[in-house]
Amino acid sequence: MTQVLQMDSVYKVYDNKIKALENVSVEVHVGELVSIIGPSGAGKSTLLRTINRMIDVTEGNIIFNGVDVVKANKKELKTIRKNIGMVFQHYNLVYRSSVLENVLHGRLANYTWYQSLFKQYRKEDIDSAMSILKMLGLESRAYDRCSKLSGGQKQRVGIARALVQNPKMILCDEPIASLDPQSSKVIMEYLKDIVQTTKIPCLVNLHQVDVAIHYSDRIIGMHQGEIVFNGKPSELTDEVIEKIYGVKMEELISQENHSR
Amino acid sequence: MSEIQLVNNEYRTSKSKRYKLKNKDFSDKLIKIILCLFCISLVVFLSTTTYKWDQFRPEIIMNMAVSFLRFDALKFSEMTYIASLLINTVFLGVLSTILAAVIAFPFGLLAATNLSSLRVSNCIKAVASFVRAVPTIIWVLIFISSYGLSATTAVVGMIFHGWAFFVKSYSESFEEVDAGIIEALKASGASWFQVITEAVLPTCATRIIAWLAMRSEINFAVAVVVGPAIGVAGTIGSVINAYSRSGFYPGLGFSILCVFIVAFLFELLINRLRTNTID
Amino acid sequence: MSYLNKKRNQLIIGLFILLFGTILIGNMISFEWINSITNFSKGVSRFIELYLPPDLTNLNAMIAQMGITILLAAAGSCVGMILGLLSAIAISKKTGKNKILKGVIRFIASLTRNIPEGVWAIILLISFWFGEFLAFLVLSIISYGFLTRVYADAIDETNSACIEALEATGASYWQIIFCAVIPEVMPSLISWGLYSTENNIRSSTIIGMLTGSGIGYLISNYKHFREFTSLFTAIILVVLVILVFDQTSSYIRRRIME
Repeated sequence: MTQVLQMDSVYKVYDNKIKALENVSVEVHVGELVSIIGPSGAGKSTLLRTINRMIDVTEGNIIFNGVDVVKANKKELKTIRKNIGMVFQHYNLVYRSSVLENVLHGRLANYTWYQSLFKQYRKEDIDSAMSILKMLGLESRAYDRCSKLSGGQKQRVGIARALVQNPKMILCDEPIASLDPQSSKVIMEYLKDIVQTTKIPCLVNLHQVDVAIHYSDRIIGMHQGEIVFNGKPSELTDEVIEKIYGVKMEELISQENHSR
Repeated sequence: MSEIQLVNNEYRTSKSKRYKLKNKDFSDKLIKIILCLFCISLVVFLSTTTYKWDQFRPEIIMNMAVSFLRFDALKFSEMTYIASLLINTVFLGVLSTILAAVIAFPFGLLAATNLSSLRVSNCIKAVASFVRAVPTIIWVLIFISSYGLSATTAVVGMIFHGWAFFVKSYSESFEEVDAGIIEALKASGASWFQVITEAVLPTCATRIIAWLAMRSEINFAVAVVVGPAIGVAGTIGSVINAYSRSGFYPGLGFSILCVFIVAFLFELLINRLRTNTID
Repeated sequence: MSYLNKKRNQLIIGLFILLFGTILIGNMISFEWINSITNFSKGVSRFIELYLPPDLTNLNAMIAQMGITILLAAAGSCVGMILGLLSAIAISKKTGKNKILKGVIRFIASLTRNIPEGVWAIILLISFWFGEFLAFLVLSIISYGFLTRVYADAIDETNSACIEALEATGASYWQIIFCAVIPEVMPSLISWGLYSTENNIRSSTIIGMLTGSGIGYLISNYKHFREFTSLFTAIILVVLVILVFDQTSSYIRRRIME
């Protein structure tokens, strides 16, 4: 198994002295779907955003695809970001643009600014965007405005935007947190499918422990910026969950049921 | 990607050489048309207007820029004179705002659909929108024939436009009062008058104060130009005009600085009031 | 009950202060309280006597000047829209990068916005002389000041999530502006642009009087030569244009916000 991402003892301290990450080391290999679970504020989002340097780390090394992310210059950073697809909780689409335009935004790094101003996308990019949309079952909506789509469809557009980049890795920040259970299932199935067929590794932040156990190849548990668990879903026992969330498994489930 | 087969559709549209990316709906087309109209008007204006560049005097601008802030060339008596005119101008704006706000209040109540009948409300709103369409300076102009070139003319003229402004803004904020509050008060036997003093006024008070500040700023700007535009003396605009014609730039600079500071303070006040109303 | 009594007393005192303040201010600027009321009916009858019936003989010239005024207003807004958008991108919290540039543009925008249009006309008159070009400059300046501010607010208020997403794909700064920011704020750009054009048409009466252009120039001429019946026609024309423009722009605003 080839290694794609290597994080070594990464620290992140925010300006207000809040320690978001403490001695975090993560490895991601090809063809893996890794979930990160943990309570809110455990540093899951920060961890994801340090990988494509949307957030700068305070200390530590991150090697992505053989390139040092922390020391990368502007040009290298652009290549790194080009090779990492990202999916967001709130989809982060341009709602007044069409589905196809939003998907094509994934290829902006390959265009100059005036080409993107006049929307002169190349035919091969449009072809690949259309085929990805077809795979995700959104072909018929390609020319529609994004604001007209449902939540699950918007998230599929988000995934398509990440896929059209031909990424070496996909980061998903709470991809199903704002979706209903049915759409969540569809989205997770798609992610699983993508990882299995294309071997693109996928790092997913999740809130729901049951979803993580069901779909991931490996689970990372975080608590207050530290990694407290890193292993197979079968190794995730009730004691470990208690350690991650700081409460008992039963309470956690009843809390989740309450919140639904 | 094994599952993905490249589709071989023809995306090229017939009209342009670009590929189709979007179903253009009515609002997209409208946006395009309006943008084009704006650009066309700019191009048409620039291509049809012949500005004689020999009229342009850059040396005056240079001269102005050099002596604009030379306040040492200004006598103290001139400074106090300018300051007194400035105060006059502010007062003119504030007075006409207060009077307009007071006069417009009953009309604002009658124009709010939730406090009055639909017919009355529509009538008043129609009159107000007509009055508002007449620029403030025209109202002042019209009243010259009755009061002559005096402060009274300026105030009465500004009251008219301000009245329409306040009727619109009052009725809009009254209409936003929660219908539940009014219903609750009515259910407990409150009269129309009590509903207004107990429910409508307290909820709208902060916003009304913000409207007052906004209108004062507008009226201040009108009061400044009332002098040079139509000849009503006694505001800072007349002195600005006189200084610029006689070429006394330190005086011009000082009076413009005064106007700027007042307008800037008004803007700060309005921003503060606005953020208060949002909280 | 003492609390309520205290509140009521405060209210009454406040109203009294307001009343006396108003009277005092009125006297200071020599506002004639009694004259303004007693003379009002006389003023109205004088108005009817002087201004009615409207004289339509010069209507063609007026319509031509009105056309110039509308053209000026739209052209001024267009300049204001282009420069205002660029400045707004530079000063907005979400897209602004350079702190020095931010400060400079904020200051310029505040200067252009807070000096009344009439004063701009007077200042620029000395070096540019009378004419349409001066009116165009003044209208561009005031549109710029106004639009920079509202555009910056519009950019601040739009959903900024898509900026983050595009940044994550490796898009450059200007690509983010063109592909995410501008499409999202487009409706507000148009809507405020129309608003500023309407404002420009209103201000063009004042500016026309001072710069000698468009319908405002005709109005000040008619006033000067005491041709009140023609003056009245010109006023009606202005009002009609403003009303029609107001209705059209509110229709357009509704449609593009969909």
